[in-house]
Amino acid sequence: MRRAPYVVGALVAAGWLGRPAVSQADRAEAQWSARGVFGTAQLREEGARTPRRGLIGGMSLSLSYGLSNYLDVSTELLMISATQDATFADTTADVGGITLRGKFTRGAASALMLVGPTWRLGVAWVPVISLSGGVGVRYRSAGSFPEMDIAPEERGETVTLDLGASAKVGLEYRVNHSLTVGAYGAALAAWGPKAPLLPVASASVGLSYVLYPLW
Amino acid sequence: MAKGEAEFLVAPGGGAFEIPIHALEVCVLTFPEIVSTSAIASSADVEVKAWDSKSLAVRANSKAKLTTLAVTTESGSVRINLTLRVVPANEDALKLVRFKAVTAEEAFQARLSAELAKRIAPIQAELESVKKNLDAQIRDRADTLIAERTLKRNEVVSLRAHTRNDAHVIAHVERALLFGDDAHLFFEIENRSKAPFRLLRATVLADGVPLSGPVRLRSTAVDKDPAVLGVVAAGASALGVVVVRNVNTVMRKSLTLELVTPDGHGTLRVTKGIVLR
Repeated sequence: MRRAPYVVGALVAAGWLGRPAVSQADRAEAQWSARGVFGTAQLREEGARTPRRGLIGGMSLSLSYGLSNYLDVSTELLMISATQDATFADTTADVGGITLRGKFTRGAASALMLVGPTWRLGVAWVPVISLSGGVGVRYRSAGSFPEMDIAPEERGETVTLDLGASAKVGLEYRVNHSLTVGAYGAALAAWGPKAPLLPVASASVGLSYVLYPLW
Repeated sequence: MAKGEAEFLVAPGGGAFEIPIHALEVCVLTFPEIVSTSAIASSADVEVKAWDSKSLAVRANSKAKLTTLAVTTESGSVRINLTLRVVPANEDALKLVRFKAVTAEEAFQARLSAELAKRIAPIQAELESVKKNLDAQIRDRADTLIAERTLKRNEVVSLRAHTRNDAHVIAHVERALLFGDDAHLFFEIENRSKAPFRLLRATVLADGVPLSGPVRLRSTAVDKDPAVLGVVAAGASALGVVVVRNVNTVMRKSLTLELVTPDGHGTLRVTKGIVLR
């Protein structure tokens, strides 16, 4: 799991170095995209000795605009959620002055609005590299010690501020003048003042509608 | 024929010719037959001597001005009366004159040709002059027209119209110039395909009605077909302009720019965003 950011970084570097000498993208084009996202996340919980790896799923809606023939600016609404509540093996929690210790279960999800540049390096087959950052919210379900059948109020349902940064590489294929399909790999790190670090490695496939807007 | 030489055609009935000569210089007259020795000169200021059996040499002294000389050949087939006119040294004179016996028809043709050449000469000179000045006149007229239109209206309109075909050829229409009563609509063809884009025709339409004026494309390659306006090589871009005549009738209307290829495939139609205000 810890290798994922390095892998993505290497792919970004390789894509940048291997870009065509003449940058070719889509000046003045707008691209609406919808992607289905799946992957793994390292879920963390306060008081848990070790994080748990869990599957995540979600979707992304994005809009990008070609500033030049090689650079888009993109905004993306990314929503991901753990497919099931994570169970942390050895977790301690203070409940009413009493320290409880045992298995602890809790679910997590995040919705982020990310903004950043996308380099588009092709015409029909289009390698893409995106960097983005933004804010959003982290949702965590009410946690519980299932073995004790206790759901501490201190670990209740929360919605807190979340900050995120993402790097994404992918390959798109231009089906026709207005339709693009693509596959992507991404690394995301989300963190909030009241939410633990949430590293995510994901893959996604998507469909884009491309048009020349009149704005 | 070298300078100072001339050939005169003599019809069966004979002929009269004028020959400019310089004083104190010899002019040789040659004939197709043996010359009779009985040449008659009107003045003693011109010396006439036999050069050989078929030639005479004449030489005017410094007093001579105008002398006539009658010459005939021994057979009598060539009879001529020459007017020897002494011209100043700064004018062209003849040094060698050949007389050739011809039929009446040949003599007529020669006279006709000479007369025609004489009459056409000033027309040809005028034509040459007009040709020489034509480019300048066209430029002046064009500049005048441009100046008049500039004074009438000269406004740049920014547009944001684009379209793309499935072969990755993109048309950008981002600027128009309102110029007098017309508009010049500028377009750029960005060819991101792997094949050249051949432009046969560029037409601006309003409500489906063509408003075609002259079109120019700054081509990046040439095409064998003269009907093709220009070619945009693969990976290249080219600028073009189409003139919209009487643009006042289509102001504030949505216009369409059609960039048509010879086979129709890949034709670009910019249907949105071209509104001149």
